[in-house]
Amino acid sequence: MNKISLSIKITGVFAIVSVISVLFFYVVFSALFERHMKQTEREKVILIAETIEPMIAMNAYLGLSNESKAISSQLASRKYVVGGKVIVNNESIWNQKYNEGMDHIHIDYAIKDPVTGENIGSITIAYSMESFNEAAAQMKKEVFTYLALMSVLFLTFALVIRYQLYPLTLIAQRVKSYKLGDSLDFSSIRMETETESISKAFSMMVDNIREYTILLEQYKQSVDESSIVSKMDSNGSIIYVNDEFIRVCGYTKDELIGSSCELLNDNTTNKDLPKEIWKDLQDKKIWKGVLKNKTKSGDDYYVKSTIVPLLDEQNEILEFISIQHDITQVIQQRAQIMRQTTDENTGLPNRVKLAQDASEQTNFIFAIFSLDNYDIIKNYYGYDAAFLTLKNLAIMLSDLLEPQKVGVYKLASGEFGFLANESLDLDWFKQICRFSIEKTESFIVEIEGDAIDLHASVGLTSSKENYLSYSGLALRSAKDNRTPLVYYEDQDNLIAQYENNLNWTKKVKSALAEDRITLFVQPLIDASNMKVTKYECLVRLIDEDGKHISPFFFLDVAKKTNLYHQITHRVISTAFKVFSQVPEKEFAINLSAEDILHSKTVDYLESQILKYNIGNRVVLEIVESEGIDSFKEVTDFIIKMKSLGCKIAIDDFGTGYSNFSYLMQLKVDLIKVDGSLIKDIDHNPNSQVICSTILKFSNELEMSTVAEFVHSEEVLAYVKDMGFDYFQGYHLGEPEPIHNLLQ
Amino acid sequence: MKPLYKTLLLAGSFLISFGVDAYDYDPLLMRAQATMFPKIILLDKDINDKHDDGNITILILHAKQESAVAENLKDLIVQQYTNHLGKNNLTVESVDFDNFDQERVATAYFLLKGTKEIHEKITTHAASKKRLVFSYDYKDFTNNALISILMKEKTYIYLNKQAIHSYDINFIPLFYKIVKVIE
Repeated sequence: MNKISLSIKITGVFAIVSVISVLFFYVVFSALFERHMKQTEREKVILIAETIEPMIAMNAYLGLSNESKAISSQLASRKYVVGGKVIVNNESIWNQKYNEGMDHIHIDYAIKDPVTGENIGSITIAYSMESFNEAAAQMKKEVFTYLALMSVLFLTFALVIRYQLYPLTLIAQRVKSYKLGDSLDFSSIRMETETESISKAFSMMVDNIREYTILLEQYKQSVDESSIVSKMDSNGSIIYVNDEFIRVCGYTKDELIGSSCELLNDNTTNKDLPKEIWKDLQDKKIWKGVLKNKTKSGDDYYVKSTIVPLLDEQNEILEFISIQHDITQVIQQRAQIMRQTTDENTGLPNRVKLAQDASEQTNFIFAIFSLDNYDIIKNYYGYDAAFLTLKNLAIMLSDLLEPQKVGVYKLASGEFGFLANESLDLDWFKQICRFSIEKTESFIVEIEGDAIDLHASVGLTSSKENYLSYSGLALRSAKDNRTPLVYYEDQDNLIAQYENNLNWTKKVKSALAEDRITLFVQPLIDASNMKVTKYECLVRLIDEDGKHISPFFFLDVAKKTNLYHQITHRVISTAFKVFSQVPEKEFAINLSAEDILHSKTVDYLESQILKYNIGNRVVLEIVESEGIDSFKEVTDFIIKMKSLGCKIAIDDFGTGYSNFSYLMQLKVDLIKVDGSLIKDIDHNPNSQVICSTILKFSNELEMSTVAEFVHSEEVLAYVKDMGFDYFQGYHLGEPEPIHNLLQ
Repeated sequence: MKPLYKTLLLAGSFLISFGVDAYDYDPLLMRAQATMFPKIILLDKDINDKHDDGNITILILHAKQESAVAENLKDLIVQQYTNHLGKNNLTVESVDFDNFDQERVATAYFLLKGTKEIHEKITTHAASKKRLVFSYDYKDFTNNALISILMKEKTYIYLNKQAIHSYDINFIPLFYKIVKVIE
C-alpha cells in the first residue's frame, strides 16, 4: 500500500483543520447569531412598544383617545409588524388579527398611567421573523461561499506544497537507491534553501558512513589479525571463522562452517558451561569468560571469550559473534606460578606466596606453627608417613583457620605459617593459635597401625620486618621453655637469647674443631661391696681459658644445630676408646631422644660396640624427662642395643612421663632415680614413699636401682638402708676427667 | 346622556355670553380644556410644592362680563373631577380681572379672553410663583400664557416656548412628546 505523500498530508491536515474550524465557527456563530438576532428583533419590537406606549398613555391620560388610536394604528404600518392589539382602560383601541402559525415573535407591553404609574392597558405586538430568516440565509450563503473559496485555496496550496516538496521525493529516491561506494549526486534536482540543506546533510552523512565503513573495515581487520573471531547463526552453527581461528583450532574452514560451535568444547571440566553460555545468549546477554577448547589434534587451549548476540530492529537474535584471545600460555604460566607458590604435598600456599601476601599487608600478625615431633615421625616412619601426617594436619588447620580469616602456609619441614587477616586483633589471633595447638594435640594420626600423638608449638610476631626470624625466635623460645605459644614482644630478651645461642654455637663449633670436647666420669658405687663398678660418662667443653664447662650451658644450644650429634659422636668415640682400656668397669653413656631417633648416631654407636666388642660393659642411659613418647622407636632401639649386650638405664626416673608398665615394656636394666627425689630423702616423707615404691617395683621386675645425687653421709645411709643397688653423687665421688682412668 | 346634556348647557351659557360680549367660546373646546387642563397640572414634577396641603386650586380669571362663562367653566371642571384631582382636593374659583388679588396664589390660572395688559400682569405674577397659566386662546401666548388647547381635525396641546423659561416649570418628559411647541 502506497503511503500518502507529505504534501497531501500537509494539505489534507490543513484542509481538515480549516473545514472543521470553519464549520465549528459556523455552528457557534450561527447559534450566537440566532440568539443575538432574535434578541435584537425582540428588542426592536420592545422599542416599538416603548416608543408608542408613552404617547398612548399620555393621550389616554389626557383623554385624547383618538390620538391614542391614531398612534396605535400606526403599528400596522410598521414593516414586519403582522398584527396585535392595544387596549386602554379596557377598551380595544386597535386590533389586527394575524396568522398564529407564521414565524414570529410576540410581546406584551403594559401601558401605564403617566401620573400614577398604574397599568391602564396593554400593547400586544406580533412581529415577523422574516428579517431574521433573511439574515440567517444570507449568512449561510456567505459561509458556503467562503468554504468553496477555501477549498480552491487549499487545492492550490496542496499543489504548491507538492511542487515545493517534490525535490525531497527525488532526494529520497536517490538515497534509497544509494549503495556503499557510490557517489550521491543531487545536481539535477531543483534546489531550494531547505532541500539544499537536506541534500548537503545526506552528502555529509554518506561521507561519514564511508569513513565509518573504512574504519569498521580496519577495525574488523585489526580484530581479525589480533583475535580469534567466529560467528554463529541463531542455532549455534558456525557461519564465519577468521584465519586466526583456523590456525588455533587446527580445523579447516570447510570443517568448521556449518558445524555446531560445540565442536571445540572441552566438556571435561564443566559440562554445564555450554548450557549456561547458551542460556545467557538466548536471553540476549553478552557472555564473557574463559573457555577450555580442544584443537583438532586433541590438545587443550584456553581462550578468553566475549560472545555477543547481534539483534535486529525487532530485538530478535540474528547471529552471534565471538571474539576470543588465546590465553593458553597465560594459563600455563599461571599454573606454573601456582606450582611455585604452592606446597606440592599439602596443597597449601608456600613460603613464596607467604612473602607475596605478607608484603601486601599493613596490619601484620604472623605465627609459625611447628609440629614438635615431626622429625621423630619422619625419621622413624619415613618420609611418606611424615608427608601424610602433614597433609592431614594441613587439611585440619585450613578447615580450622581459614573461616577465621587466617591464611595457612606450608613452610619448611614440620612448620606452618599463619598469616592473620588485617581485621584480626592480636589477642584473638593468639586465641586462634592456642586453639589450633589444642586441636593438633587431640588430632591423632594413624600410621602403620600406630596412633601417633602430635605436639605443636607456636611462635608469634606482629613485626612485619624479619617476621620469619622473629616468629622463629619466639617458636624456639616456646620449645625451649616447653610453652605452647610465645609472642615475640620481649625483643631484647629474645635477641639476647639468640645471641647467647649463637655465641655458644660458635664455642661448641670451635671446641669440636679444636678437640676441646672431652669426657668426665663419675663413679657409681655398688651397694653390695661399696666399690666402684660403673662410671657415668659426662660431657664437658673446655673453653679457651681451659675451664671445664658443664653441658648445661651448651647442650641445648647444640641440639638446635647438627653440632649436637657431633658431640654425641665425640662422647661415644672417647668413651669406647678409654673404657676399652679400662677392663671390667662398666660405663654409662647418656642418650637423648634425638640421639635414639638419629639413625647415624645409632649406627655409629653400633659400629663402636662391634669395633671394641665391649657391649656387655655399656650402659645406655636414656633420659626419661625428655619424654620417651616415640615409644616404638625407643623400643626398637632398646631391643637392638640389648641384642648387642648393652644394658639400658632410665635416667632421671621420676621426672618424666614414665610409668611402671612403660618400664616393663621397655625392658630396662637399671633405674636411676632422679636427684630431686634423693637429695632430701632422709627427711622428706614424700620422697621416701616414692622411692620405696620404685624400689619395690624394680625388685619385682628385677631391675637394678641407682640413687643419684647422694651428697651426704645421711643420704647415703638412708638410701643404703632402703635397698638401692648403686649410689652416685658428690659425696661418693666427683666427676673427673676420663683420662684419669688411664693413669 | 349626561355629558351631552352638560355640553348643551354649557353651549347655551356660552351663547348667552357671546351675545353680550360678542366673543364666541367654543363649548367643545371649553369642555376639552376643562377636562385636560387639571390633568396637565399633575404633570408638573413640582406639583407637590405648589398646593396647599393637598388642596389644588384653579383660579379662572375672566372679564367682568364673562363671569357666566367662567362659572360654567368652573362647573364643567367641578363636574368632571368632583372636587378631586388625583389624590388631591380640587378647588376651582373664578374671579374677574379687576378683582385679581396678587397676594392670593393659586395652583394654576385659567385665562379667559382679556386685554394684553391684564393678561401680562397675571402671567408675570404666575411666572414669578412658578404657577401654570392656561389660556383659552392659544393666541394669548403673546401675553405670555403657557399652555393652551386647540381643536381642529385633531386636538392639539400648545406649549409656549417663549414663556416656558420664565415659568421655570418642569413637566414629566412624556408631556413634551405630545405637546406642540409654539415659538
